[in-house]
Amino acid sequence: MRVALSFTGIPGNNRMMAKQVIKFSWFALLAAAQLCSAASKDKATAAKIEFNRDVRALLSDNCFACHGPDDKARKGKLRFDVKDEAFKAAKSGDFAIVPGDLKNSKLVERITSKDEDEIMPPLKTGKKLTPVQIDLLKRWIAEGATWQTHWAYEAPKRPALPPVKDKKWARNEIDSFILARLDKEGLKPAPEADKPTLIRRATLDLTGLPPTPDEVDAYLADKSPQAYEKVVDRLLESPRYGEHQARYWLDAARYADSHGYHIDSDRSMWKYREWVINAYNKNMPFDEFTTEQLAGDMLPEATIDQKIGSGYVRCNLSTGEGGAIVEEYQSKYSFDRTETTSTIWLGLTMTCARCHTHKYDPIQHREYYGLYAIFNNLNESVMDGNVPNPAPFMKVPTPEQSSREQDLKKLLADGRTKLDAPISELDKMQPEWEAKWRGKLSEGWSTLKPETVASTNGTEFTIAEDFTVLARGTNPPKDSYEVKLPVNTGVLAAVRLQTLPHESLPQKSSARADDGNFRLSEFEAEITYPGTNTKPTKIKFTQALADSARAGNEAALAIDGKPETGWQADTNGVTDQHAALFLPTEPVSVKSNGTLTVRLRYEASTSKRAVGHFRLSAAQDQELVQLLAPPKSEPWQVVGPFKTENTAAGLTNVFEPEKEIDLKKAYAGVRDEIKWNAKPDFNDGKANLLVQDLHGLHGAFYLYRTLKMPAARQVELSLRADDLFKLWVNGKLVKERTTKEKENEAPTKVAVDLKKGENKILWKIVTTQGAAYFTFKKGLDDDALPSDVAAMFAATSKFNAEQQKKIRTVYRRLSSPDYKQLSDDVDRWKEENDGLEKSIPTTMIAREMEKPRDTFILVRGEYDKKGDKVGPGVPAILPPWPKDTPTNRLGFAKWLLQPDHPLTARVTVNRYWQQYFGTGLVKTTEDFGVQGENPSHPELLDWLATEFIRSGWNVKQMHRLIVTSSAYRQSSKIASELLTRDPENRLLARGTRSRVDAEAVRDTALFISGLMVDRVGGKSAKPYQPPGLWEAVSFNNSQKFVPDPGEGQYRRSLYTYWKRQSPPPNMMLFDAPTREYCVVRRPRTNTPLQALALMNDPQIVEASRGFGQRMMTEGGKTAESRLAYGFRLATSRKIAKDESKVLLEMFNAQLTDYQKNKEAADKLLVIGAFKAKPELDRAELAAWTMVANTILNLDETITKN
Amino acid sequence: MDPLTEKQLLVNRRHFFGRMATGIGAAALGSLVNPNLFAAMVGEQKRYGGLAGVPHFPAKAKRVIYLFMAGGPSQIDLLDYKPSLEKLHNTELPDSIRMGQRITGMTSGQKNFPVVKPLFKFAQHGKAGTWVSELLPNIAGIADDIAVIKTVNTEAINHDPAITFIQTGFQQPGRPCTGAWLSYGLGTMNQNLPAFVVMISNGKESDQPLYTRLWGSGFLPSEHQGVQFRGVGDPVLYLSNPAGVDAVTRRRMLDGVAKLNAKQYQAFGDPEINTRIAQYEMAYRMQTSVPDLTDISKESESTLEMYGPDVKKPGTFAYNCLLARRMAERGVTFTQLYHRGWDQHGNLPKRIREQCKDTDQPSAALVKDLKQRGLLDDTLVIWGGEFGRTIYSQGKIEKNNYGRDHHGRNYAVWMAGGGIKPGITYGETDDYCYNVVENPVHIHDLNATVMHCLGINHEKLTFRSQGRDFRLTDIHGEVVKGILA
Repeated sequence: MRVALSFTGIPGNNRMMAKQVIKFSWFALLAAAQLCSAASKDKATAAKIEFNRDVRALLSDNCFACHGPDDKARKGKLRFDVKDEAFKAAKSGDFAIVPGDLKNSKLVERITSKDEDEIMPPLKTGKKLTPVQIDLLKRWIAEGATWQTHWAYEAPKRPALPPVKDKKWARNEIDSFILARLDKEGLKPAPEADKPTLIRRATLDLTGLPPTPDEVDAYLADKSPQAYEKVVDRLLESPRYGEHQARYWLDAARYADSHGYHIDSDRSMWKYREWVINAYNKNMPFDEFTTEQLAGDMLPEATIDQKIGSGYVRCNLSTGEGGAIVEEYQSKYSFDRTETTSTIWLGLTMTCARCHTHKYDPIQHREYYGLYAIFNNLNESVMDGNVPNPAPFMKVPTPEQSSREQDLKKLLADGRTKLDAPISELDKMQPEWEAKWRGKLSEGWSTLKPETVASTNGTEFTIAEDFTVLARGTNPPKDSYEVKLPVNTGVLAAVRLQTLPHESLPQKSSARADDGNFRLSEFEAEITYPGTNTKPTKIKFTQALADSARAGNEAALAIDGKPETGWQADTNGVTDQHAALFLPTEPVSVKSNGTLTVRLRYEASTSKRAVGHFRLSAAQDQELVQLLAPPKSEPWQVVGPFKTENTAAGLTNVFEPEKEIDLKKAYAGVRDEIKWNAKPDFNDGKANLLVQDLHGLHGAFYLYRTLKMPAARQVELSLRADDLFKLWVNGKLVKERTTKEKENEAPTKVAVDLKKGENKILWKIVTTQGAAYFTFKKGLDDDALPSDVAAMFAATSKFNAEQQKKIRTVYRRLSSPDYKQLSDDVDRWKEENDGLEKSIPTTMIAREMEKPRDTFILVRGEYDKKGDKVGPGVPAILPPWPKDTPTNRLGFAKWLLQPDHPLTARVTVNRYWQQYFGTGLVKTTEDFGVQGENPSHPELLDWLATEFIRSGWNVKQMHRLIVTSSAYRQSSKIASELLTRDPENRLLARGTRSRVDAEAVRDTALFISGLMVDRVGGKSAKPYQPPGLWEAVSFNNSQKFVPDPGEGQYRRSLYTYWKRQSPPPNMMLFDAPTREYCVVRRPRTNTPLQALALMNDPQIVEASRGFGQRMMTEGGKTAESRLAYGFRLATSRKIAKDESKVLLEMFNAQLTDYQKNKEAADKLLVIGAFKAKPELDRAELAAWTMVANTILNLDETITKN
Repeated sequence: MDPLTEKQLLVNRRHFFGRMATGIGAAALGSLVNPNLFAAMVGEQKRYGGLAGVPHFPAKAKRVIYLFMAGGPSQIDLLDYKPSLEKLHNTELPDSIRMGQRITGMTSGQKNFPVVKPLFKFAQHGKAGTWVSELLPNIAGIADDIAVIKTVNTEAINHDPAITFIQTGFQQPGRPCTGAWLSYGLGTMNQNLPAFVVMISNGKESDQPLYTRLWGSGFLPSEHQGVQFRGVGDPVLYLSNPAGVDAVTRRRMLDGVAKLNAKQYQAFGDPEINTRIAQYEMAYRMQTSVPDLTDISKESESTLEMYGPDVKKPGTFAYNCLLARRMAERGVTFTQLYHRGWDQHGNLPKRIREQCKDTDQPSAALVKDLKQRGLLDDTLVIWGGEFGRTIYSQGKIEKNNYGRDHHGRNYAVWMAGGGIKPGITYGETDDYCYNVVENPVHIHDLNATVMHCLGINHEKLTFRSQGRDFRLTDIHGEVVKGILA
């Protein structure tokens, strides 16, 4: 069988054929054998056995698993992958192979043994050598067992051009190699394809779309010898060239618009796609193309574009699954990057070596982790968090965004400078203003008379007449004082602690410590009512201010509930008097006969840091209370998401919080119960991210907070949210937003009346996906002294720089309308800037960790079974790492691009070849290793590889070379003799004929119909797809596919939104990959489901209408001329008479039917958003639509002939 | 026949075989070839597509219906009865039992791992005395028809890798799933329907995602990917003619396409063109055969009743079970149902009751229905998920409430029909239902056994990709002889 099939003499084709035969049925096998054997025996026996062509694959397939590179799996210390090892004595002392000596070659004995225990390969492997294979091995040994290194591991050498008989046919070097081979086989190349076929082929191949009739006409009219080359040059300059080329690359780079694992939420990488398109269009040399993708981020002074290119490294799948273990996924990402890169640039299959030394190729387990180490240093967020872009990512503004960003930057900088500059007139007045406020705020304090003071650790106290307290006696390392002070009935807005220096204390300070420094670890207070049943009120302080504090010992630390931190005044001022103010969230009401109990705890240190001399007073005076207790709001409480059908329903549906607020209540959510959560990190005036904890669902959220007002007043709220919202104040709906906010739209302003006391604000935000931003700003601080500034005045007259700045800003705002205006402007610009920042697209990029992560060999590829530590490196079979090159991604790129690298150029030109001829010179595009196929034209492959490097990795030049060859220009008509001789067309005695890829099937329909939107780059588009596909597979069926309105329907398929867990169905049916992993060779099938899609997919039905309209409006008056026009649009050639007859008959019958049944015509004509011209006759248009649909379904329309 | 013509026929055949596993019909071929040549006889069954020499040995089962319970049903509450839990309830899971087992990120922060006994009663059923929870009264009723395997195990502990693992034999995307392998190996018995069909119950809350890769063909030719039959819209994507296009119009259009394509064939001589002609005819026939399949109006009332009240609602599990039986009758090789909602980290008692209410009756009805029609003998039915659940509670144990995290070391699956020994319980787990003590069944073993029932040696059904011969069971898997009839 093997011999029989190898008669075509194509090295490497043999195993492929054998494999396919298995796929076919037994009688195919039988018939083929009968057919071929008679004709071919002579040739096969005549040829000398060649190791690379005939033997290696056989050994690799059958023997390497136990006698190959993997020393752990090796049996009998014998290996057949290395020459010296194969020829030396095995463990047993026998020689497996003795060149020229069949008798003493143990291998021969073993493979022919009848003993079940002896036979090789062993029975349990399930492998069995055929008699032909045995014969082949025997002949090889008998002929002297010549050994060759695997061709792909040796650098390509530029071969001389072989002589050919027909020098005229050989237009360029490619042709010499092809023709020389055909000469040898006694075959002749096919004649050149006719001009319409040729221009159609080249246009489809270079741009992914058919030519227009005008382009065909121009080519037909051009009689110059260079007419075809002119067409090719025009096509290479078309922006569609880059789009089409990018498509192949994106398959390999596993580009997609979703993260891939588990929730599979949105990802934003389209800037990288644009980068790839642009790289092709500007003919970026392949070495730059390689370097920027593998390590653009590491280039010196990397540009934005170079960083975008490094997005290649981040195109792998990522997860946000709740239970996932970070380390596990981190290693999965590195596996993917290692293996994808190997497939794309090395054409080597690395996955085996993840778990153990490769069974076939000379790649050690350890060497795999050398490559892995190169990709194991990414400083990234492994859990993607189901947000569009996990770090690191980069913002990529549009030119308009950039320019506005610049403007705002300047406005803000200038504005801030102005705001900060001295304003002499105002500044002169400020001390007076301050004095006035200080006066107001220092008055009205009620000094409290301590009734008792007690220490937990034995300290004694003296209470003086001025109500000061002096500690004496025992001085314990830690202490806690409890002071009881009667207070007046009414409200209490603050408690002030004054520390007072005293003669008797160390350093004449106010502290008991030897160095004069106190540290108050906690300040606690409550109101009690001794001798009554009235419940005590614990005072919860939320603000603390002091006139002086050592860094890291601010007053706020005395109310943080942590005894290990506390307030300490500046060490330089131990002899000064100090004050600290403690404010509750809101004034506390005091009933009659109340006692304030204050606890001063000194537990942050064991150095006796108690205050030795102090006084306490309270803010109870009405004016003081007013000043110190302006409006106060609680942090937002958030609950959600509540499940909704869509955003509109989300806004309309009344969920429980809308009826009644109960912060303790749990509600039924999308998955589990949902509860209210306090979000103190949501800041007013800032863009806050409302991350949906439940993985990118749409749904309704409720945000609730209370706002305490000292007096009733109107305030203006400023609101911004990504989607829809409703706002209630005190139960009354005050604002509703039913449409999505446009980009850069100003915030929604709403004036609301707030009452004195507690106001309830409820905000419902309905979001579509993932994270949503919102901002909330309340215009409250406009005309009153802010409470924190009031507190500063009350506490001290010594302000630090920050406090001074704050006071000055408040003063200036209150005193100067101009200043206030500018200050408001700055705030607005800041907000606009925030909004802009948020709308700027981002794209994921690579970034290296500063300190490289340690890489270990992973035993059996398991992330938690670490073996030896390994550094970055490359397999020994390949060239060494270049000297003076860093051992990182950048160095790796350099390594790949060395001129003597055996793989990079070969693997790349082979992929280009595959694009044009359907099959690579090496058929196994992804595997150049020993299990891969040998090249059909080894010299041609090497010539192309060396030429590619010689040209400076010039990509367009390489494509031009291929498509201008005579080999490419041949007719693809298949002579019956050739079908027999070379069914797969590996010898290229004819042109290639194949169905176009999925994207081109759809794009062609859009293009012919005139609907296609021809714009390069941009975000991904969502053309229609049958409803329910996303929901059926997504988490809680939450991800809804919402088709794009307008041009999103008609963009080239390259831009179609690619969700990895549910890719576009019309692409999948035509063999597009899921983009979950690297694919460098798409299969090409022919199935009934494809027929159904081309007949019934609304996108095609809509395109048929557009196409029908074009025939009617552009195709002349008669049905014949319209049909001829349409047929030419689709196939680029003139319609034949008999073809015209078939379609016209069909048209006429259809027209009659639709005229009879206008309703049917009307139904057909409303599928899809495109509206045909109303003046066209409906029945006629419907009939043309069906003709168009027929033409779009023709084999010829979706085939490159 | 002269050699040249014969060679062409051969190439034609090769294309037909290599393509859509549903094969090709007489009408399509016209005078090109004799269609009878294309069907290989396997036993008494005609098969279209598939590989020569497969099945490797006489098969007990000709087809599979896989009821996939996505999310990880709790074996503890359903099928693995543990009287020991009465005593162990609310005690801490000992380290000696956990033995360093890694824990998902969802409970790894938990301070305690308290054992929680199921809230449900177990009883013995059938002659075999199989222990089944009160949650599954109907499955209890078919105890003598099924084999309960208590010791299925997997290494994966999170959904995405686990479900990808059991369906494709590998935790990461890229490999073909079981159905694709069977479509590739066995082809189909009905040329007008796909060899491999997938149906997903309408989604509910608490559903984990699914991935099209789970019914993908990986590196196998893409015609082997599962064809999704849907409860909404067209049962098969793009099946129906657009509004305003009736059968006459479609026929007319197809005739036009066929004539022009035939002319193209004359010009180019490419056999692929003939394949395309045939595929259009096949598509046309599918437009009839699929609606016939999904038309359940002629099912008897007693049959419908058996599947329960949801059976008439497209997209429910009950409806899909009934459809699965109809597919079995029509010769679909592999029918895979997905039913989600078993991921019960919290509120397990309430949610598992709901899940069982949806699935218990239809699952049992499917087995009974197949049996009464004589189809159970050569149809393999599988019920199970991607992993089980932990003995310890996720979150606090409350009086009538608890949750369970993912657990891969042992979980329960039941199988019935072609090749399976009925009325047995296989394998034993420890008192904590945490480790296998006897007869472990790794998911590779399970998949090897499924293939065995179909007459396939799992080590021999391979495909060369990336230089290596891949198989469903990777480099593992042993047929579980103990559950074979």
